[in-house]
Amino acid sequence: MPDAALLSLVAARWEAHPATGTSAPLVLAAFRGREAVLGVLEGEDGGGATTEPAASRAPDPVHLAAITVEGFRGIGERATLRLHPAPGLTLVVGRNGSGKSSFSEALEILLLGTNRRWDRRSPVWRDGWRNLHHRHTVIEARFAADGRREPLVVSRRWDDGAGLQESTLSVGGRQRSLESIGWAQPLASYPPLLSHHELESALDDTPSHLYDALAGILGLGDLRAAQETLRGVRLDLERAVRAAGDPVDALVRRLEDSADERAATVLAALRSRPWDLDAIGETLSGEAAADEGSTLRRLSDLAALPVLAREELEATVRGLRDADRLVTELQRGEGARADELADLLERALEVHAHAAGQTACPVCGTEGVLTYAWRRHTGERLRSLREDAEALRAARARREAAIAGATLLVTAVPAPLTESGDPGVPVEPALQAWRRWSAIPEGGDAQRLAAHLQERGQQLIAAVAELRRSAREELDRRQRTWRPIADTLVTWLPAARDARAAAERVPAVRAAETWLRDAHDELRDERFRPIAEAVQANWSALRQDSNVSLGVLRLAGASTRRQLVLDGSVDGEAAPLLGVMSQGELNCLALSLFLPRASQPESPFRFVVIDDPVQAMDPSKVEGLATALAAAARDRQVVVLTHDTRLPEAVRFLRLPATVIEVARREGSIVELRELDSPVRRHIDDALAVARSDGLPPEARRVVAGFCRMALEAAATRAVAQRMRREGRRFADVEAELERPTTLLMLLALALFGDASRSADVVPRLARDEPGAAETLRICNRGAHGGAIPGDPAAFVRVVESLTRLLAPPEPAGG
Amino acid sequence: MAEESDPHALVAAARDVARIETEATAGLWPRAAALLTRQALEAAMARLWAATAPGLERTSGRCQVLCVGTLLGDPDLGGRVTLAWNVLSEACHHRVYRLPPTASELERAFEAAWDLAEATEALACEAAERRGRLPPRAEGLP
Ligand SMILES: Nc1ncnc2c1ncn2[C@@H]1O[C@H](COP(=O)(O)OP(=O)(O)O)[C@@H](O)[C@H]1O
Ligand SMILES: [Mg+2]
Repeated sequence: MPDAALLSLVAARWEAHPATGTSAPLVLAAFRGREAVLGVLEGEDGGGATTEPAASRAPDPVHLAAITVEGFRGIGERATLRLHPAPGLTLVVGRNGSGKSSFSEALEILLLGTNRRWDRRSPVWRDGWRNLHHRHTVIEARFAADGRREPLVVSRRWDDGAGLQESTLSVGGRQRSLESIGWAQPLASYPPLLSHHELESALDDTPSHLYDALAGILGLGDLRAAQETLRGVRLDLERAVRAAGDPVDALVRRLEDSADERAATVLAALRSRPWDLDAIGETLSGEAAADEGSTLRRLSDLAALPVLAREELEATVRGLRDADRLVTELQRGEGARADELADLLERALEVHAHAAGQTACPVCGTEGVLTYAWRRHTGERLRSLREDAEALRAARARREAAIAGATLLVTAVPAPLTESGDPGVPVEPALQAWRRWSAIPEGGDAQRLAAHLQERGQQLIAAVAELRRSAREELDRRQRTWRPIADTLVTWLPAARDARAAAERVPAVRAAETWLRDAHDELRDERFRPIAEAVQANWSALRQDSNVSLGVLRLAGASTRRQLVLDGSVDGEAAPLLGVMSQGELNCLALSLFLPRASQPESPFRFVVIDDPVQAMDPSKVEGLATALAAAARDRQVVVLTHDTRLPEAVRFLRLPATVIEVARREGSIVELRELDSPVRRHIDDALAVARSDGLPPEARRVVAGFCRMALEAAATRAVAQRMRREGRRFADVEAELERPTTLLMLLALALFGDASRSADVVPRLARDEPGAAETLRICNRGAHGGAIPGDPAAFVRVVESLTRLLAPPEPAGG
Repeated sequence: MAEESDPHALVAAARDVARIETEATAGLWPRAAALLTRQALEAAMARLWAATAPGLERTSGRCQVLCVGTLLGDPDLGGRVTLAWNVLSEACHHRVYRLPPTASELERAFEAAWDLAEATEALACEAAERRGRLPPRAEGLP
């Protein structure tokens, strides 16, 4: 879910400077991930990214109130590190092995779980996480959340025997993730924990890792992720374009070598810009081969020339001949005159019928021939003659039909034979054969026709078969050389179509990317400036007399070229800093970088826990470290774990306000903590040290009064913070309230009654428990400006000490 | 060598010891410089007490350094003097295994002592002006 504030910033910048060649939906989709970008490219609408992320409320700022650890690392029985949940410096001191790091590691694992950093540690370490003396493991931290009466309790527990990874996290009494209270992202961007281990390795990282670590603070991660998303999409598009373009040269060469006319079409399509992919597609699907006048079409026509079936030809010829033979046979003898004869006989029978009883032949005059017998015999003969005549007629008709049928067999020369142009196969023999075949002899003589058909038909069949075969072969030959090219083209074509679509999209994506990069760089530089300044300030406090001076600190570049640029000089000579710094200096720089990062106003973590910074540091830097930590502690709760006594000493002697807690560890991993020093304690101790000096001149007594006043102020300030927190007031209110009182009594009134205006009630209230209150407060109120302490200054300090205790509200039970 | 109780001169001498190594000072210079600087602090404080709280110089070193911030009206400088005093005291009580102060710890101490000397002198001048008389050291200045 993109950060809503960032999105609206981006949207506003878009309003002011829209990018040419791209669209707002594309830019905004980049924040919602790859799928969204691809969706916009496919033409889906942007999906209202600007309004989408319901700005989830930023998590409440928190201070750290306690870390309780049981059965983890060096801590066996339950031990609690209690902290004052307010800005200020706390030093947790103890010898090596006293369990300090166990607390910080516990907090780390509580908040970060078994994260990457954890996994980097050696397996031995990871195996030794459970305390040997205590099987049950629980880590719990209490946070004072801004404006809440009740502390927020985060705990992680492990079942007995469970692995490091197998813990249950509960937040505010419910099983849920830290993500659910909005901590996951800030924990990554503003890590509030810095171990000695990290301090030492922080600057060993590559410049791009350093960039990432710092860029995280700027809250521009989403912007960078959006750029990365676009970049990823663009690289994929470009890859698609290249994938289609790469084989083209080789393809062109093969096409140029190919004699196939399709090759020419495809070549032309490939040479046009953009590629004419549709033409290539048509060529491949064979549609283009159907073009008029194309050789391929002609060849395929020739290969498909109509064939005269040999059986049909033979049947026709046989039919013709049979029909003709039948006619000839029937015509032999009288056959041809049967009709004529029949007519004569019929006529004779008629004549005879009319000349009743005559038996002489009227033609030859022979007597006694035209008898009844003759009459009967002639009648039969007449019938038979008629039948013969009929048979002959039928045979003739059949012969005519056979001739007509045979003529039908002879078709005109088909067009493919007569087309002009050379199809690459000999057409002439077939054409000639066909022409001869078509030249039917005149006169309707069946025998001649049959002979024509027989002879020319066989020739035609042979010639056409030959032509068809050679056309087929030619087609096949061409196909054999084209096929591999076509296969290549078939697989290439979809990639090319994708590439075409991709190529059209690249400019828009690139424009969106450029726009986002500019927006990012601008915001980055703007947001980084104050951080760079804070780093500078820390460095100048920490560096002491290091001869390295830190120049420009910049985040530069993008994506794979992003880096943290650390310019500076050594003894006035410009130098690449990371190369020349000592380990101690590197650690100082790492700490200089860490503090501003963890102190970002956007971070909900108002605390930082730094484990053993001195160990990694040049001893002479301790004074600077103390100063830098105290500076950071002005508006942050700074908890520093250290085994080195120089840091608490420097803090103490420099009079930097700090609470010092001592950790001691006994046999059986029993860890005990006690407060050694606090700002109140410090002032009381110093006041006593001066007050007890023999021969203290009267002029110096005001020093005692000054320390006493500071002790009362410190006690009151802490009491005000505690009271207001219990009332559920916000830190900002506490700070504002603490700004207001102008006199000591008003501050005390604020501490005692939560009301600065009740200063008149302060003395009566305190005098109930401490009879010397009135006089003591009067002197302290004047403080170092000349409060003259009558009597024993040490006794005076004792009274002040008891007053500071009266101010502190009772600690809540438990915890 | 300047007058023994002149804090400026003592700081300058300490710096020289730290800077110029001779055979005589080889290995010894950190402790020698520490000693000189502590004397400078004592001398400067003595002058301060003379102007503000006569008698304070007879109290313990810890008591004196704690009073610097208040009586000079500069708590920051008071803190630096206290820290320097403690570092130097550690170095002066020679213990075999205790490492001598580092060059930069000494540098911090020189600065604290010098600044205290300056501040003390400024205060003494003001006091003397109020009494209509310049203190002896300032007389020789142009
Ligand atoms: N699983 C464990 N069981 C018992 N003791 C352990 C275990 N892990 C570490 N220790 C011991 O606990 C001690 C505390 O370690 P650590 O918290 O790192 O102390 P510190 O940071 O104060 O030096 C070390 O002496 C270590 O040997
Ligand atoms: Mg440790």
